[in-house]
Amino acid sequence: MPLLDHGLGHDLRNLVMPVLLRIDTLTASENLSEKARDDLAGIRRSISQIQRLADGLRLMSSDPLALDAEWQVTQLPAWWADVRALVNDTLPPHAFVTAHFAYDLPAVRVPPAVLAQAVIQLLVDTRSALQHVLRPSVTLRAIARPDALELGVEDNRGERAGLAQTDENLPAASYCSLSGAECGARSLLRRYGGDVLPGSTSGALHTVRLRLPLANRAIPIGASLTTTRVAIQLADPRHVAIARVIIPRRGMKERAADDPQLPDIVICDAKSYCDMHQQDALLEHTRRGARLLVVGDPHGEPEHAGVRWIDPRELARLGDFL
Amino acid sequence: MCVDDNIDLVDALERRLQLEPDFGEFVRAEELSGALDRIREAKPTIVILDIDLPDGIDALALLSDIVRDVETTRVIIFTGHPTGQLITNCMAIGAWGFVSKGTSAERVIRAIRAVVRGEAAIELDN
Repeated sequence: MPLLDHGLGHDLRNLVMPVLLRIDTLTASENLSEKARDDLAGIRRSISQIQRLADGLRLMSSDPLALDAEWQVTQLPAWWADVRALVNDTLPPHAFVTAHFAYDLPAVRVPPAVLAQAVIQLLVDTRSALQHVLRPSVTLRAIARPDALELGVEDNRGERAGLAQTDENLPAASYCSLSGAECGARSLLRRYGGDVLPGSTSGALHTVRLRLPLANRAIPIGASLTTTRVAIQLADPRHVAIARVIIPRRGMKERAADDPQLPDIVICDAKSYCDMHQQDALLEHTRRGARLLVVGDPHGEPEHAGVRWIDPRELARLGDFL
Repeated sequence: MCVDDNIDLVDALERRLQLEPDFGEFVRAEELSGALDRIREAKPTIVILDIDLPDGIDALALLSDIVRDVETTRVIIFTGHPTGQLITNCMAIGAWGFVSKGTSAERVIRAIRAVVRGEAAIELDN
């Protein structure tokens, strides 16, 4: 199954992108009737759904034990857009599925693929529990806790038993490419600092909660997501691009040059840090309480409080230092 | 220039990029195995290079050869499965950009423009 998921996801992406490019090209034609434009818009919507399905298949086919978690923190609203079709397909066709994810939820430190596989495992179990329910419904809801988000998966199974397998670390071999490894929902989430919490029942409703650690543990729930300002002072445009991908994924904000607020974190090159004149200015940031991350080799530079070095080859792990 | 075994994708990308008034000629390689020679000859400003090439062609080795042989050409990596380590590795070799096949044409074009300006670009999934 994982190979099939992977192959389908890969092939779908290779099919979808040329179609979207052709639609773009056609839409740019000047002599296109209004009706033809409507048709093209409809085709684009349908193809976009296939693209979402391909994205979902990619999540399900990723090896959950070999993920580059640093780049794959999860923003729940975007994640839901990718997995919604798979969730619907997992549940009975007449199930009513709703999700409540505020757009400004902080990112969680669990890769999207791991979260998708954990949730689908739960829902496979939910499906069997809902088999005899007249109007099955499933609700996914994010609940803010002081140091984590809890993703509640609630269904109306009534008195029927269910989800017990999840508590037993369901092997879920169908979604894992490593035979014999523990790939149950709980095992997967624990690898990334999360957990499956004990289920609870209230009347006909049964809820399982997934505990998901925040991507940026320094930002408490309820605080502005962009209170941490990161100044990028890197000369290599590649390093700049990598930093710009990771910073917002950690719920932080790149500090604009004209921002009157001082940075909380400064990322600079070894070359500028090792320059005597620049070093003094950079260390001034640390004296004001900011942290300094230097990309490069320390080459025997003396240690300073608030200064950490990052090997450029490890830049994908920048978020661990933020 | 786009080096990808998916000819439909290369054709569609060519047609889409032709809509951009400031983009010049779209160079093609008849055979993937001859891509490096074609790049040496045509010296395109940008090469969009698929990371998963067939027939035993090592895209990372090809990237390394382009960086070594054609200094004026900047390479953007094209992939269906972007990961942080792959991006870091490609950029360490000398790639200027990284574009997911799950992204939109606008973002591919934005990446090309950024790299032409001398900025590195990473466009992940939509």
